[in-house]
Amino acid sequence: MINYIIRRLLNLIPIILGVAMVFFLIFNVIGGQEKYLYNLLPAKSRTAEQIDFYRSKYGLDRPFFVQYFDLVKQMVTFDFGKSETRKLPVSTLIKRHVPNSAKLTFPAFFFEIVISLTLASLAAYYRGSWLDRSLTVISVIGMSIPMLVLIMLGQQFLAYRLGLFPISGWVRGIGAVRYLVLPWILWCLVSIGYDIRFFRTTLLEEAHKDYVRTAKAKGLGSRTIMVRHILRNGMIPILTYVVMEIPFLLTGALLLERFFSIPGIGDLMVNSIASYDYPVLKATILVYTLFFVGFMLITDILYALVDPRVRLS
Amino acid sequence: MADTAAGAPLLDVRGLKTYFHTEEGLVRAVDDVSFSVSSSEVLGLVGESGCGKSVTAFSILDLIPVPPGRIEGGEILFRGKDLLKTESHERRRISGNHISMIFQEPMTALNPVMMVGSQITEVLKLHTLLDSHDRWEKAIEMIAKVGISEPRKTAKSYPHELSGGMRQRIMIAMALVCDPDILIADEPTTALDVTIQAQILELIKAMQRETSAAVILITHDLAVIAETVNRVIVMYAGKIVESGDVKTIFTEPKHPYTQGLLKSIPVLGEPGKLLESIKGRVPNLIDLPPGCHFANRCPFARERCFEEHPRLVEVDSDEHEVRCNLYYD
Amino acid sequence: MSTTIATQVSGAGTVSEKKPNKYVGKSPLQLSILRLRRNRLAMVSFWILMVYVVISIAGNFNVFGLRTAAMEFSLDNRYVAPFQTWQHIFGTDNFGRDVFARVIMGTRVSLFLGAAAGLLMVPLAIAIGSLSGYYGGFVDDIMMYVMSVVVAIPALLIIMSLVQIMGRTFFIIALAFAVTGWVGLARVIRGSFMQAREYEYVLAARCLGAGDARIIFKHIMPNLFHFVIVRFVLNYVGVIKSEVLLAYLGLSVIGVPSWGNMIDESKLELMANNWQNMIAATLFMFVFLVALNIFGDSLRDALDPKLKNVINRVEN
Repeated sequence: MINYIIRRLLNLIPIILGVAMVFFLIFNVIGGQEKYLYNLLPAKSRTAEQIDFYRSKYGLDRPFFVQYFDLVKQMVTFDFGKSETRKLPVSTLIKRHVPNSAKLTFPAFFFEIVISLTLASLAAYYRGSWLDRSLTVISVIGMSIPMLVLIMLGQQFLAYRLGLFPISGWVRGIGAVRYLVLPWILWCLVSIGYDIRFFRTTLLEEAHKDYVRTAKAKGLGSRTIMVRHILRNGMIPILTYVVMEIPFLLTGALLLERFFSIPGIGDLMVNSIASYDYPVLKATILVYTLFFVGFMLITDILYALVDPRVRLS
Repeated sequence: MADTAAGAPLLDVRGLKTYFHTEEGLVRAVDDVSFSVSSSEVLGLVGESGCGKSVTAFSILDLIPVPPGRIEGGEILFRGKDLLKTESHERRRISGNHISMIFQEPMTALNPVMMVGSQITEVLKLHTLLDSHDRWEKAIEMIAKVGISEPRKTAKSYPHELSGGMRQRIMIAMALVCDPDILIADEPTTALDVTIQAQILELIKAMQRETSAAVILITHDLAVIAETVNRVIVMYAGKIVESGDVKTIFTEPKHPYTQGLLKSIPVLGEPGKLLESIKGRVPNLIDLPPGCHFANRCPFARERCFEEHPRLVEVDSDEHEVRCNLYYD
Repeated sequence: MSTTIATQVSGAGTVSEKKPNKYVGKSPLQLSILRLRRNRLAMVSFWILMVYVVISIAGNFNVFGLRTAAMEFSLDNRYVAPFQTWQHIFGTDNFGRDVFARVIMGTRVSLFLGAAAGLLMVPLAIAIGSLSGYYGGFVDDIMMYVMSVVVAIPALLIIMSLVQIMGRTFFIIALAFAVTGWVGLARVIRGSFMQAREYEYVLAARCLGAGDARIIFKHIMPNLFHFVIVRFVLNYVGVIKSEVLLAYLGLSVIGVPSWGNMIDESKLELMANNWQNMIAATLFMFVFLVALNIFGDSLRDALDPKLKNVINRVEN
C-alpha cells in the first residue's frame, strides 16, 4: 500500500513536467509574452525600456529551454514570486483562497453525489414508475440548461426577490455557511441531471448481469439484490465517473465564486487571466492539477477497496 | 424431503407458454410445453441453442426478464401447487431452497465482488435459521463436499481467483446447500474444458445420488445425456418434439430431428466415415409457419407437414411420445 | 417422393421467409436507422434540429434584414418590451437592437461553433486513438502520456488561456475546444483498436495481405462509427454550454451576438426586470439542447443497444 502510494507519487513527476510543458507552450511560445508585458504595464509607463526591464526580470529574454527549466523550478518549489496586481506573494494568495474553495466545493460535491445516487437507485428499482419517468424528464431538463442561467435565476429569485438567502457575501469561519447554502443548492441542481442519468443507466446495466439472475435463483428479494449485489458492483463504474467529474468542480466553483463573491481560487484565477497576472495564473493551474492528480490517487485506492479484482501492486 | 404423495410427480409443467415481445415481433420461445419430473429422477432437456430449453428452466424459477418476456399460459405445479399463481415472496422461499439452479457461465454467474463463501451463506441466511457462525461452517462443509481442497481458504476467495471448474463447483455447492428437491442444471459443462466437464458431470451425478434430488439437465450435448439421465425430452423451436426413456431415444429415435441429432454424433472406431449433419438452420422463431417447424429441414417432409402442425402422440410404449405427422393419420 | 418436395422448398428459400420480414437482410447501419425512425421522440428531435440548422444558415445572410436589426444601434428604442410590436416581437436590448434578430444570429454562432469544434476534434481523436491502439508499444506510451497530461489540466483553464492569448476569434475558440475535447474519444478508440487488433477478422485480413492503413480504415474504423457520432453529438452539447461560460468570462466570439453573449449581457438587466435577452437566448438554447440530448441518446441506443455508459459527461 505505502509502496504503491510512493510509486504513484513518483509517477507524478513526468506529469508535472508535461503540465509545465503545456504552460510553456501556451504562455512562453505561442506568444503570450509580448502581450503579457504590454498589458502588465499601465499605459503611461509602457516605454520600451520598461518593457525590456520586465522582460529580463521575468527571464523572457533567455533561451526557451532555460525558460522551461525556470518554470519547472517555480512549480517544484512553488515559488512563483509576487503577484503583479495584488502586490502579494503568490503563495500567500493561494493559501488564503484555497480553503474557501474547498468549503464551497467539497460539501456540495458530496451532497450532490449522495442525493443523485439515492434518486437513481430509486429510479432503477422502480423502473417505469412515475418517479422514474419524472426523474428522467428532470435529467434531460437539467442537462439542457447552462449553469450560468441556473445561477442567475437562482440568485435573482431565491436570494434577491424572495430573500431566502443572502445575495452574496463572505465572512471568515463557520459563519460563512450562511452564504454557502444557496451556492450548494445551485451546485446540486446543475449536476444532478447528468448524475442521475448516468447512475440509473449503470445500475440498470448491472441489473441485467448474470450474477443478478443467480441471486434471484437463490430466492433473494429484489431489495436485497439491489443493495447487496447491484449497488456494490455498480460502485466500480460510478467511482470512475465521479473522478471524471472532478474537473467540472472547477467550472462550477469558478462561476459560483464569482456570483456569490466567495474569495476562492476560481475567482482568483479569473481575475488573474483578465489582468494578465501570470504568476498567479500559473500557481492556480498548478493547484488545480495537483488537486486533480491527488484525487486520482485516492480513487485508485478506493477502487482496490471496492473491487477485489484490483490489486495495488 | 424427497417423498411426495405416491403417483403425483414432484414437478409438473403443463402447457407452459413463455413468449417474448420483441421489436421484431412475437417470439414463442416456449410454446405449450408439458412434462413432469418425479423425485430422484434425472431428466435431460436437449436441443440446439435457441430451442427454448433454458427459457423453460427460467420460467420455473421466475427468472424470465419481464418485459420483454411473459408467461402467457400454463401451469407449473410443484408438489401440486401452481407456482405461477403463487405470491412472489412465497415463490422466493422455494427458489434456492426447494428448487435450485446451476448456470452455464460460471465466470459471470457469481458476484465478482463477494467472497464465494458469503455467496453460499447468503442462501442459508435466507432459507435456514442457522446463526452466522454455523452458516459459515456449513458453507465450508459444502465446499469440501464438492471436492475442493482447502475449503476454508477457498471460501474466503473471490470468483476471479478461482478456475472455471472451481467456480462451477462453487455454483453446485451453492445450489445444493439447502438440500433442494430439484436441481436444474442449465448447460453446466458447456463453458468448461473437456476434462473438467467430465469431473463436473461426475460430481453432479454423485451429489444427485447422495441427496436423491431430482435433476433437470439442460444440454445440447447428447453424449452428456447418454451417460447421465434417465429420461430425455427433445425440444425444437419452442416445442417438445420427442420424449421418452433414454434407451428408447438412443436406440429407436422416431422423430426425424432426433434421428438427425443422433447421426451427427461422432462415433469412436469408425474412421473415415463422413459425419452427417442436419441440413438448413433453425427457423426464425418470429412468424413461424403453420406447419411442422422442422419441415423445411426434414428429409421426410410431405405436403401435409407444411400445412398442419403435428400433435404429440404416443408410439410403442406410453413413455415414448413423438410430434410428427409420420406416426399418425 | 418426399425428398423432392423438400428440395423444392429449400430451393425457394425457407418457408419462414415467405412473408418478407423487414428486419431480414439489412446491414447493421440500416437496422439502426430503422430503429431510430421508429422512435417518435427521436424523430421529433431530429426535425427540431433541422429547423435550427435552417435558422443558422439563414442567420449567415441578411435575410429579412435580420443582420441589420441585430447589429445596428437604435438608442431611441432601448428596452422595448416583448410582444408589443410586430417589428420587435421579443423586444429590444440595451442598445435598441432587436432581440429576436439577435437570438437568430446567435443560433448561427453556437451551431457553427459546435460543428467546427467537433470537426476539428474528431480527426484528432481518431488519429491519436487509432495509432496508439493499433501500434501499441512505444507509440502508445507516448500518446498515453500526452493524454494523461492533457487530462490533468482542467480543460477550461486551457481553453481560457488559449483564447485569451490567441484572440477571441471563432476559429481559435473552436480549436481550443478541440484540443481539450479529444481525449475521451481517443481513449475509447484506442481501447477498441487494442481489442480489434486481436480479432480473427483482422488477423484474417492481415493474412490476406492487407496493409496497416487498409486494416485501420477499412476493417476496424467502420466498427467505431458509433462512438464517433455519439461523441460528436455530446461534444456539441458541451461546446454550446461552455460558450455561455466563455461569454461570461468575456472570452466568447467578439462583435457578433451569440447565445452566451446575450445571457451574459442580461446579468445586469434582470434587476430592472428586463428579461428579454435572458429568456430568448435561454429558450432557444434549451429547446436545441433538449432535442440534441434526446437525439443523441436515441442515436446511441439505435446504433448499439449494448453501448450505454461508454459516453460520459462532456462539459458543463
